[in-house]
Amino acid sequence: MATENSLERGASPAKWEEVGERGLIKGEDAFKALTFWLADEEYAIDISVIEEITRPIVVTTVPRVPPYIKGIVNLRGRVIPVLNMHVRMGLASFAPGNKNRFIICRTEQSEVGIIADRVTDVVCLEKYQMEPPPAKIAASGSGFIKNIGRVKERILIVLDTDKILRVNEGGTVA
Amino acid sequence: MAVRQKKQNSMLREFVPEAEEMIDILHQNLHQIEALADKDSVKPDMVNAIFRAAHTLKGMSGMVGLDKVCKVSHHFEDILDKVRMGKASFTPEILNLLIDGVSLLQAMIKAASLGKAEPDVTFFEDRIRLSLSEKPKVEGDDILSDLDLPVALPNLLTEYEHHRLVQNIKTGAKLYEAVATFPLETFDTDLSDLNAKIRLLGEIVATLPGPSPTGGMEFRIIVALPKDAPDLEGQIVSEFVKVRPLSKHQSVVAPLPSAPLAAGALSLQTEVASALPKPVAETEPLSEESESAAASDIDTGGDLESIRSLSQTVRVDIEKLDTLLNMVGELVISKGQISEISRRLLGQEGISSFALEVQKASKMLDKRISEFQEKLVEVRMTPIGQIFDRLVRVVHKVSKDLGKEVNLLFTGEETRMDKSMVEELSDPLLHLILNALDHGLESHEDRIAKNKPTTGTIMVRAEQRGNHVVVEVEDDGQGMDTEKIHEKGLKRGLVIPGRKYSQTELVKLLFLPGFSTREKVTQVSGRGVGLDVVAKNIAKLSGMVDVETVLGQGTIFTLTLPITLVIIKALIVEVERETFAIPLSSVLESMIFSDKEIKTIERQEVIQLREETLILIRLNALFNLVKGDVTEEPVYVIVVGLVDKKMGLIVNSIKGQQEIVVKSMGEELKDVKGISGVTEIGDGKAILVLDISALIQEVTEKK
Repeated sequence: MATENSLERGASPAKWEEVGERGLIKGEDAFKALTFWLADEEYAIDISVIEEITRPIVVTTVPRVPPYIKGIVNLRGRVIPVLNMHVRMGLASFAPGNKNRFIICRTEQSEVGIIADRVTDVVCLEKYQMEPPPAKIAASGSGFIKNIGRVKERILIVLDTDKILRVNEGGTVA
Repeated sequence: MAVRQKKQNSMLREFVPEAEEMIDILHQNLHQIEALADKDSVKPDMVNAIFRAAHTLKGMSGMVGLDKVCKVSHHFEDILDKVRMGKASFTPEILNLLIDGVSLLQAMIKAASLGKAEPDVTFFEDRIRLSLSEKPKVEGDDILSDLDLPVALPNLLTEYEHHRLVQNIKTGAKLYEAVATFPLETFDTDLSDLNAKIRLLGEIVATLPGPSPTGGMEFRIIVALPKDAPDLEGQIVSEFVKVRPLSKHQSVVAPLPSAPLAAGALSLQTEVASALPKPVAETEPLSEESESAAASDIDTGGDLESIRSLSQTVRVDIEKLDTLLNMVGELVISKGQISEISRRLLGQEGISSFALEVQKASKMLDKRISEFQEKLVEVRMTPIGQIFDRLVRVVHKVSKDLGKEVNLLFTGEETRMDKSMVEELSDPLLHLILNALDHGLESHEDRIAKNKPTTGTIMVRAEQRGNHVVVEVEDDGQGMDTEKIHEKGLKRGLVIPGRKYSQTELVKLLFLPGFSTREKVTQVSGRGVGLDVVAKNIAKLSGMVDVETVLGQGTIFTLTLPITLVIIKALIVEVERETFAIPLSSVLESMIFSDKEIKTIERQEVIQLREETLILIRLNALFNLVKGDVTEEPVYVIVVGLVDKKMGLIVNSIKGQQEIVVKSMGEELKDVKGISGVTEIGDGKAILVLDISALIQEVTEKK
């Protein structure tokens, strides 16, 4: 069963080392994930990196940064960059709505926010529910997708928190 | 005379808390050593910490003219140096001597802070002299012959490194030589990375730099690992680093040679111990007597020994001050809301007594908060002279290495700046001074040939001008040959052939990356860090660098910096619905123009401002902002810049002047060009603060 205690804060969702004979993944145990929607796809992100979820805050556009950086927000005095996940994942453009939520995540260096169309719930993902992303997606993407998770009828795109939250130093336009 | 006295007093005020800190460090470390059962296991770090504290105390007391404190700490240094080099060890006598010495120093500092004369210290000096007169062994080189060392190497080691090497052999440590070859461009960081890695594993005994035969820099690093540690070869894997064990028979070497030597050391210690008590015992009563005499001299009314701290100073972590400033920032925002409410109330109720009362209270709050903010910023101000002391030390050493005589002079030490600015300024300033020393000042012979005084002069002047601090570094060296710069610029394709360049324009080329007129890389200033880095670092502080040079006579570098970057006055403007803050310190004037007055020269928009033609910049174009539906007429032009570097920013509206608390953009976005930070002005939305010097640089470079 889920061993929450073994999950360290800020640890990557799982270190799936190898794929077994039957497509089952050997590695660490289950973890909890927050699920949310972007365009018409459902995503999941390791809950241990999440600091808080807020209603939309006014975003200040920052010039000369890659398009996936929506801007910065001032959250009770903290200055936090927020990512436009639609651009980041190559989805249809983001449409503001009253169900939008900002998911503020802790990174090694500081905090980064991501914008979700809407947040659904928290699920527990175990290793038997996980499979590696299809080869085609894995090859074309930037490695943001760590796994595909199946919970009953739902198909969840499990994000690699390390990669998705990293704002490249070289990413800023010099 | 009176002025001098006052300056002396203020220096003393600053000296006392710092001296007390050093005394604390001395106390702490000595007591820790005293508590150790095996005095030989004292870590070199600890000895070095005491040594440094004594050294700092010596320097500080010398500066404020406390000669005797200086003398005593000098003796301290002597003793500790001997211990460091293994020429003496922490015998109970020496420890007692040191601990008594610290108490004496403490009493002396107290006397000084009360304005009393310094007590007599000859008795203590005698005592030290006696205990140092023992002549301990001189360690032979033969122990090193067991190592597979290059023949010349032992001569290259400093006395301390030599001692650490011998000490490590004695304790049976595993010794290695790591030869690292790094490219010239990155060796600074490469080496510190490697050092950090090695320090996790063991001790770095010595680092010997030299040019590599294959280009780049080569470092021989002698590493000592604990006896039972795994081999270094397995742990440092890099194409740049070659590791080899130094012991000829690493695995068996440990116990064999160390045994007889350890015995030798032991017998020597007993010798010292038996030799010591006699003289010390003789001096003991004497010293106690004079000590108490000295003490009665010092104590005010013969009251009990007070353990209260002498100074009324509190040392505060700068981060705590930052937090306070942030809180004031929030206060300023609430204040803004209240004055807004008061204004609305006045509009609604007309001039009723209630509305007027609210307005009055709001204005009062305004005033108080401004005062609060002002005081808080004042707390952060430190005299720039703090870094001057550090500069002296480095320059002294480097001038020796270069064989140049130099007189480093300072004025305006008392000029105050934000603590963080002072710190950020130290590296660029050091670099400019080293640059003057290495490239500016001629060699001894050249100076004689040119009929100049053999001792060169480097003058560092700090001065406050309005909201700025101006720091000048002037040398009386050879100046810069603009012809040569021009030639080199042509070679690099940075200069358009046939065009006339002014001297100022040519000198500015020096600030471009990788532009150095000296072909040879010298150890001192040609270290990859060039003037471009200086310019970049100064620009980060919203400052500017200017150069004036006269061939044959010298060069002046001028740094112009704002006093603080934390709370600044700013002009809040709107450009295409985005709001920006422009530091008022870089705003010269603002004007309204009609679109028709804007002309273009070579597709660059300009306006005629009095006799000058001013380059205009549209932030929305520069920043690729989405165009809002704001009408274009009239336009506001904010003239920004300093002296000869000006430009006009076109904005849609000016929302007013305000004091803002500038925050960093955060690790991820800190390098966005043209933006120096973020602030908020009332509605909670983050507002970007423009980095005017970077924008000006960008625009002029493009041109």
